[in-house]
Amino acid sequence: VRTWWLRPVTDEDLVAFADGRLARRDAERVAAHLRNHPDDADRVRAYVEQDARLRKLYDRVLDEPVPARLGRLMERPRAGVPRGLAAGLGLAALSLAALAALLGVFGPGSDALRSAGRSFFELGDERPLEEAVAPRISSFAAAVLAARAAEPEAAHGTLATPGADAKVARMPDAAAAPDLGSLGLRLASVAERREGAHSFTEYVYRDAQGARVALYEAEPEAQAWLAAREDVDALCAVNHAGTHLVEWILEGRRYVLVGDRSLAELTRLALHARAAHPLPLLAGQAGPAQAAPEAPAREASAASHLEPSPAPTREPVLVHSPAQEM
Amino acid sequence: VVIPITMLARGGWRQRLIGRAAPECSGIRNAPEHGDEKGIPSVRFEDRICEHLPSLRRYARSLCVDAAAADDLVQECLLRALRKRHLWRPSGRLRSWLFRMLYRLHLNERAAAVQRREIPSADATARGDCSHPASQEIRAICGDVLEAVETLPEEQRAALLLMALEAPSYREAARILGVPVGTLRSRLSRARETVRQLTARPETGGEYARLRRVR
Repeated sequence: VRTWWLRPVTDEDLVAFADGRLARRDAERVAAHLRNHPDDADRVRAYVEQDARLRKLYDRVLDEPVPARLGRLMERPRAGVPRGLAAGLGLAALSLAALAALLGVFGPGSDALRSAGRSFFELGDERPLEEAVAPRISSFAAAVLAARAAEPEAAHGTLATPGADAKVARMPDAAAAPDLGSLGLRLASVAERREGAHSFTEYVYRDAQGARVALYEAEPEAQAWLAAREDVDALCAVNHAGTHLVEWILEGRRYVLVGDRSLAELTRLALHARAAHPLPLLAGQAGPAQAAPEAPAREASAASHLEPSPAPTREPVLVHSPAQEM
Repeated sequence: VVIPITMLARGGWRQRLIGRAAPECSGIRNAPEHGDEKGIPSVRFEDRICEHLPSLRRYARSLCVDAAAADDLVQECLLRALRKRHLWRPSGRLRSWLFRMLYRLHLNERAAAVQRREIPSADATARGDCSHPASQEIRAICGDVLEAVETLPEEQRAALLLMALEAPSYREAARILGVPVGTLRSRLSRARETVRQLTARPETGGEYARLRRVR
């Protein structure tokens, strides 16, 4: 039963018809009504003309130059602290203030306490991000950044170039690099780097456009660095002085991923790298039962490893025992 | 102290705080600065706002008495948007958010002006002032429409101008104006019919032509 066809046409239907906002069958119903009611058809025509005349009156604003004060507003860098970060740090500040008050260090209403509480509300101001919250990175990440800063960007890519004839500097470590082929990244070079007293391994990946992403892995003997901090296996994404990096600890080893990409993209790569990493299975560390299936991958040649690999064929090898790490 | 920072590093606090976003910004959540989770290069928040800036100025110009007040309104809207940028996400409806903010600021300003007794009279806002940018020729042709629109109640005028200038969907327009879709359609219907009657030529039955609303 086509009851909708029998529904009376209301004024709102006419307006919606003029606006083009009716569903098809309702539009057909109204159109049929208009064919038999010329007065309503004139009304609809008048509504359409209203819109056209109003647009004609105001469309010139679109061509006017934007006032300088509005333009400046959009150009001004506003490095406000994200709400989550501000609230988290504010909570930390409040916790400190409450703890201090409980210990009797500060009396109620003292200036120090008020200033600590005030910081909770003032973190969202327009101070540069670097001033408001200094990003905290590990000493390993600092060493990595220092090494990158010391060596020109071009030199990073000279260790190996993508291609069939590329030579990888240190082949034994190339097999230990995580396979990021499924993300469009292929291994371009592997190198041992040193910054001060710290040495680490650098895996450089490049995508189809040649953009570079570098993964740094702390050397086993450098694990003493890790003793102090250790917020564990959480990924920590930081914008440090304009450089985006993600660092994490896996099985006692610290990793840093650096690249000219957004933090979200780097975090996604880091999650994939962490899952795909064959883990620090150095010679003699893995037991025979675990080492056996890993052997073919270890014997792969450098050239074959550098071939574009569209999809990872190797399962993540999560082989580790605390006793072996000692 | 350590627990909040650790949870912050893992995103726990962030997610919890985002879940309490202001009602007017629902659908606009936090976003990475330079890209989204899919790795698609994203446009800067300010650049996205700039895309809507001309439309914002046009709608503000239609709502306000004069051009300077309209730009003041837009400026206030932009400042508020920048303050709340942490609630924005690339997939959110930025246009709805901005226009809703603009309209609410306009209502707030209007309410404050009423308290200060600064609301201009209907004659003062009639077309003869410098508030709209049309040339003399266009104003001569379309001025009667403006006069008719000026006589409308504020809610009807905002609805009519929004639909005429921006042509959003009814759902989006209702979201911007903060009313149900049915209310929006009712206001639109009344506004359009009033304007039609006021602008109708006398020979075509426009008995209300040249009348103005007495406040």
